[in-house]
Amino acid sequence: MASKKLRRAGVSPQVCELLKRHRVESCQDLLSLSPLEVMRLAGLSHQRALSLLRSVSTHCAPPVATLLELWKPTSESFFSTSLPALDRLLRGGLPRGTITEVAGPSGCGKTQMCVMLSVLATLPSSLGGLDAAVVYIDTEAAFSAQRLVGMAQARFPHHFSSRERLLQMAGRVHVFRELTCQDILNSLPGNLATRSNLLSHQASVLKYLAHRFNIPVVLTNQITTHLGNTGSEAPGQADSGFVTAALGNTWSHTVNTRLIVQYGDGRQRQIVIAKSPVAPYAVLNYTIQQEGIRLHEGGNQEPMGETGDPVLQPIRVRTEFNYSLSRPAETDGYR
Amino acid sequence: MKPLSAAPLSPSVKVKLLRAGFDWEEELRGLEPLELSREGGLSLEEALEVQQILTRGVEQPGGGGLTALELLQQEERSIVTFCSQLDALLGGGVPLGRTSEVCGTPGVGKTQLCLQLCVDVQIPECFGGLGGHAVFVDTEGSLVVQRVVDLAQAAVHHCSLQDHDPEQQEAMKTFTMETILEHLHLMRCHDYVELLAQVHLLPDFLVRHSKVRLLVIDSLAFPFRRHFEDLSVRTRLLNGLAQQLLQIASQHSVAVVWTNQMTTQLVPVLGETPGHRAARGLLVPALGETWGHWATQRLLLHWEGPHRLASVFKSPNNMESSVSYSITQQGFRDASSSLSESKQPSSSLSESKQPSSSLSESKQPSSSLSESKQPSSSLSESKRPRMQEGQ
Amino acid sequence: MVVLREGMCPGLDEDVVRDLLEDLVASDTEELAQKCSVSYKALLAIRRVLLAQHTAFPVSGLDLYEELVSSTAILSTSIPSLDKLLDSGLYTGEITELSGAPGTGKSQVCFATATHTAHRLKQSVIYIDTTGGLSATRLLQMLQVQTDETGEQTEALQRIRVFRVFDIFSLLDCLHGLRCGGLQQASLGGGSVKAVILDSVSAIISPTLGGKQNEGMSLMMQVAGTLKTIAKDFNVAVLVTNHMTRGPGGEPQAGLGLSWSHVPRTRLLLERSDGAGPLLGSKRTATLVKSSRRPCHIKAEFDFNRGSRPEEGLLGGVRVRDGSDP
Repeated sequence: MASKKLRRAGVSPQVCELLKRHRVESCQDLLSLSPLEVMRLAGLSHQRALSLLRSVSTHCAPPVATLLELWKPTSESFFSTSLPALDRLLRGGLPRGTITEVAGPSGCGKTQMCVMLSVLATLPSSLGGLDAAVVYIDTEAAFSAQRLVGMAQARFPHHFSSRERLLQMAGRVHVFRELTCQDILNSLPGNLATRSNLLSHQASVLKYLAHRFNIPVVLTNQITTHLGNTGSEAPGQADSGFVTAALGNTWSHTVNTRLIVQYGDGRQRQIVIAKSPVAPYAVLNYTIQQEGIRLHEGGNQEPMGETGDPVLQPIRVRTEFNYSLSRPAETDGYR
Repeated sequence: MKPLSAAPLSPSVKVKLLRAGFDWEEELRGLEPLELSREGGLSLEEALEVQQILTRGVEQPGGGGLTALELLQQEERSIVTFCSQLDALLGGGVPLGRTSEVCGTPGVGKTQLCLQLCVDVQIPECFGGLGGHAVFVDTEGSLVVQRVVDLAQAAVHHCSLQDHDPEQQEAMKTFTMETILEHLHLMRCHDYVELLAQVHLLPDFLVRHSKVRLLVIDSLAFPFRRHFEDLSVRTRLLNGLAQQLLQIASQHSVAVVWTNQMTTQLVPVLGETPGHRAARGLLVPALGETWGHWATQRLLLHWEGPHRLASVFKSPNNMESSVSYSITQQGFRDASSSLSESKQPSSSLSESKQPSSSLSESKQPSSSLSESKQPSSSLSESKRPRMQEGQ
Repeated sequence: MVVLREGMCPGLDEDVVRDLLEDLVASDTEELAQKCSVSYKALLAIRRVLLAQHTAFPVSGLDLYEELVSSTAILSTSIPSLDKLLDSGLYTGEITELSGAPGTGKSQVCFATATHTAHRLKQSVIYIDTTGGLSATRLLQMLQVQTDETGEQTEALQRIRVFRVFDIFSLLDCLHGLRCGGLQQASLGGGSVKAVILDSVSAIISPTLGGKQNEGMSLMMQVAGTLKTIAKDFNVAVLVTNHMTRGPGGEPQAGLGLSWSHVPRTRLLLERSDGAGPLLGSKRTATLVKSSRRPCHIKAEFDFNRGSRPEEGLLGGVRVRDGSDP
């Protein structure tokens, strides 16, 4: 809407002509000017410049609605994860129209989660799905169609009893393989500014898509080591770092819901609701099965209360993996 | 005598008039539009507009303005946050007619505080609220209606426990979750152009919806953190935006609250272990240091270990300090008592208390100094106990 | 070509004379003589008369000094260490500027000066608020420290006249209004206007600068000129606040650039003393950046508890540290 030409926004032809001489052609160009600049470029008095800005604004301002008009039943504003305990905490599932991030160490089930959600989205609404297609952007070549079909069969044996339905489901998942994305981000370690510009631009595009079409957007994120503040910590933790979600603080602002998957005890893994507009902080245990993710009752499913900054939320990694990394994380976990 | 060069005329008209030998506005006043157009070489339309603008200036003589006393009588009400400690810190809540900024790391509760205010501003007047409406400008897509429903139900429940007299019972009939949702206007802006456009239109909107008492922009920072080819354009846009928001707050008697993100700034560390990279990341509010001038008061929400703390770090009439709060199913609340008790020995609180205690220490010598040197201090000395009682 | 309008009004009133004068004096006499077919001698005579009537008077230094002694007042900021730094306070007839980062107490110093002038000196104050930051509650709080009498508090508050302006044109309107009689009007309430406070000048001006126009700069100089005229003609102290930017090396600088830096006669830079973090400190350091009376880069510290007991901060300065900054 912002790139709408001024002529179509009800600006008089003379003024358009004057502005065009200064390469001000769209609403965006005009609104990026200060009133004094508009006075100069369009040859208007202060009053007229303000009213010009106002009238152009009416053409690109988004509509206003009261919340009552926007209030929809749960099924329309949430996308059920088919995990009852998680759905209950998230008030019905992943909020549609917003960005949900799944962060965690490798092998913890991020991809499993995505594949499972893909299956769910294609299900008819009678089974709690969205009855819709899925766009799956795969940057790590981790998507396996075999796994998709296998999971669908294991999870919903009745529904996917016929080969037809399976094919229909698989046909609705559109996979885009973009193996170069990772390279771009990795090859730019020195230029943080470029990276964050790229990221925030992508974020606003994703947010626009999510809101415009009322679809849930799910992203996965890797983990990184966060260096503790040197010197100010207790001697035992003096040089400690712990593992947390990657891409930094600014990115954390843009995700609306952040789920963290991490290693628990034994084969168990945990989902942590680290940031959510609706849910409190909570930890859920799960294992990865043939049918995808299965939550386990018992364990510490109850919300544990507040545990700290979700940006710096320590993530537990496999202990065999790297002892020095997991040590401080563990102490945090048992707090 | 007003110089013409300061008049809000279009630059080209101004140049023509100056060239025709008109230096002062008063010289133009006596002229007929036709004369003016001939003398100044303007078209008749331009001449008419000039006359119109100049007469507008005459209507409001310089005598306007209020005395501070009149201002004091207007100055008044604020929106409670439902966190009593924070209310006390803010002197009763978020004040109307002013701008407030809420900064904080992701997930610390900025949006929650904003939503809570949107609900609280609607509490009927007989319950000590404002009975106003709210506008929520959402740029991050973080508003989930279900969450507002939670907060609204909790607020309605809270008030229904207190309705004693018939007036309050009457008010409760129109204070329901549905009306709260109905009186909350949502504007979803996807980029900075839409945000700017929306702010241009807000004065008109507020005239049409005169009951609006709260304007929230969550978040102001997000649309401006994308790539700008020319950073000076960003600065200019932000300055213009802030000026408009101040004007809205003051002229429509609306509390304007916006949220800001935090960003990492690298600060060189001196005298640390050699060999280490001598830089430390420091979290500071985004949008630059100069941006901090705009909001009348700034609130920083942050984590201190497992506790959430709210700190006021700029304010015209309140002291700078921190309180803890929590976010529950019902919304933004006081930190639970058990938590705050267990907090007492913890390092976080003692740290936050440290500066204030050192302050009171530093006051001792100051008063002794003023006693010895200043005759006026005896007056302040005698007043001091009274002030303490008043507090 | 300028239209000679004396034919329309034969009385040759003041304005027309001024217009003519400028043209006449500026133009080359010989050329003019040819053009108007007036004798060169006559023109020279006219010119001499006009110049004698309209030039500025030469004033001797002694006269100026006497005028200074008789008419200049020095308004205290009510913060002793700041007063000392400013050579006993704000001088009337001058522009003093306070600059500093957000939350360094610029507005607080303005409030303190306003209440002090209104209450102790019983003079009127004009307060132009461009940020919406003026808090009458805070003014009252400061007055309550100084006096118990409600009547006196009310009187003092009545002497402070507040203007709220949010764009440059209304600021200019307001200033011109003050210049053309507004000041006398405001002083009717009791006591004459002794201080004009503009908090903050950068909030109004910074959005007008830059971009594809240069009117902003000329408007800024208009503001500066009018403030100076007000200060001189009505003999009032003008106090403005300005924001702070960082220079290329990260050192603090007052905002609005080089052109504005010539406007104030005295500039103070306020900083938080304990640069530990954004929070919890009430000590401030003031540095004299520009002054015609005292050596620059003197620092003064003042305690500035904005909390429950403001009298500590506002009446008891901690100490003044003289000597230049290393």
